[in-house]
Amino acid sequence: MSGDIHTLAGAYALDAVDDLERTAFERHLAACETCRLEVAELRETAARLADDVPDNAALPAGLRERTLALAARTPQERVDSPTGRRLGGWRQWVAAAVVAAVAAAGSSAVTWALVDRNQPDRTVAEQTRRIAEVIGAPDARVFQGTIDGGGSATLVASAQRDQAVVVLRDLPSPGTGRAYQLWLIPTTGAARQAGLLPGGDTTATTVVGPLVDVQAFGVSNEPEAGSPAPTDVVALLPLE
Amino acid sequence: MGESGKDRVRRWRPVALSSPQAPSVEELLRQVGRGDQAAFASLFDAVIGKVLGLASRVLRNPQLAEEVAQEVMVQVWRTAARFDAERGSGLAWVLTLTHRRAVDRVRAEQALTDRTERVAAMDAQVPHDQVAEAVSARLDREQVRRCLGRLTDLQREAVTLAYYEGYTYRQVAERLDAPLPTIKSRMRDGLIRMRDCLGVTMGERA
Repeated sequence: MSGDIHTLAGAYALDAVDDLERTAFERHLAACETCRLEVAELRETAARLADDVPDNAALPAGLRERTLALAARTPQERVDSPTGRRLGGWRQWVAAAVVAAVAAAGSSAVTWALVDRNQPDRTVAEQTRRIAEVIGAPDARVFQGTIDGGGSATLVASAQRDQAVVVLRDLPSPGTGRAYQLWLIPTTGAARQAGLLPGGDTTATTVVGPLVDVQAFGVSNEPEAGSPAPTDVVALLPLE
Repeated sequence: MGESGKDRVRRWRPVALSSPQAPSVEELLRQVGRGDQAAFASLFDAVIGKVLGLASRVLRNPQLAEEVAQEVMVQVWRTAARFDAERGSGLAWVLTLTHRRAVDRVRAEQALTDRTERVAAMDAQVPHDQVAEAVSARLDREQVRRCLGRLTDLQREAVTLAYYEGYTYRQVAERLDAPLPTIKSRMRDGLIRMRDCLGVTMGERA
């Protein structure tokens, strides 16, 4: 039954089913998460087949103008909670990144070894719990940016929890005797330091906050001991 | 933090948050989902060549392809908020809508015999402008061809007849004179082999 319907996955991804089968298969998908992943991958694969079709170089006259004008007077569908829905996926992604970071470090203590001057005794378990809470917050929003010289910064911020999870991946080496430092930049006033990576570290996952009045998150390259104010900023992520 | 605000501002070195080149299709879709008409114009320019190309390939008729392309782009505008980057790339999403609409149109027209006759005429009109193609597009195409070449004959025929010609698996089974369950299986295991060959994975997008 359910195993039988799933043999349609390939035909479904290729749009080679009739309407009845499509409906039946989509009902099957709604109840099967692993099937959804497989089908998403097969759909992506099927779409790659379009790479072997020449682009239509000649745009028919008037098509662009007609289409833009038509769109301009066509109302858009609103997804019920677009942010929440999209973040469902992002939460998974960040959670996966967190797990990967722990796995890559081998010893989780290394991964979590952000110097938190306010609460030096924070345990791994507690840090993990705080991360899960922020990522799972219903109002969590995701921001992404690139780092000068390579790597990425992803930030999941929850106004409700007044905290954000920061995932830094694959930053370039900060140089000998230097370290990356994290900052929260308020709408007015000086940047607040929000963490210092161990000297030379290029990957980190941590929680920063509070976020009240914060308009941007920054990463700077500083002497190993950290600086009172950012000097060499490598990433600035507006939080709005 | 003993610096004046002015000093600090001068020393900050903000980075471009989107790449200095054109914004990605995913980013454009997010903006379109919020009703941004300028982003929709950019998105149109970014994908229309592929949308028309795919519609033309399936429909074999420039007039129908143009109609489908326009419908698809308006559908993209209307439903952009549904796009979920975690489920796949933005271009794949647009092309999935395109393919679905093109095969629906093919079947509605019941024009399978008609289409066969039009192949020659249409092919002559399509500008195969290899020179103008970006290098990356050529590499993508070569990769698709190489991966198609690694399928068994039956897998390849089942997948390409469905995708490029818009046949249902029943029609494919008839054409290839093969049992239905076999064709269903070849479509699935063929796509799985393609997926692995192309390195398509979900959830790796940063």
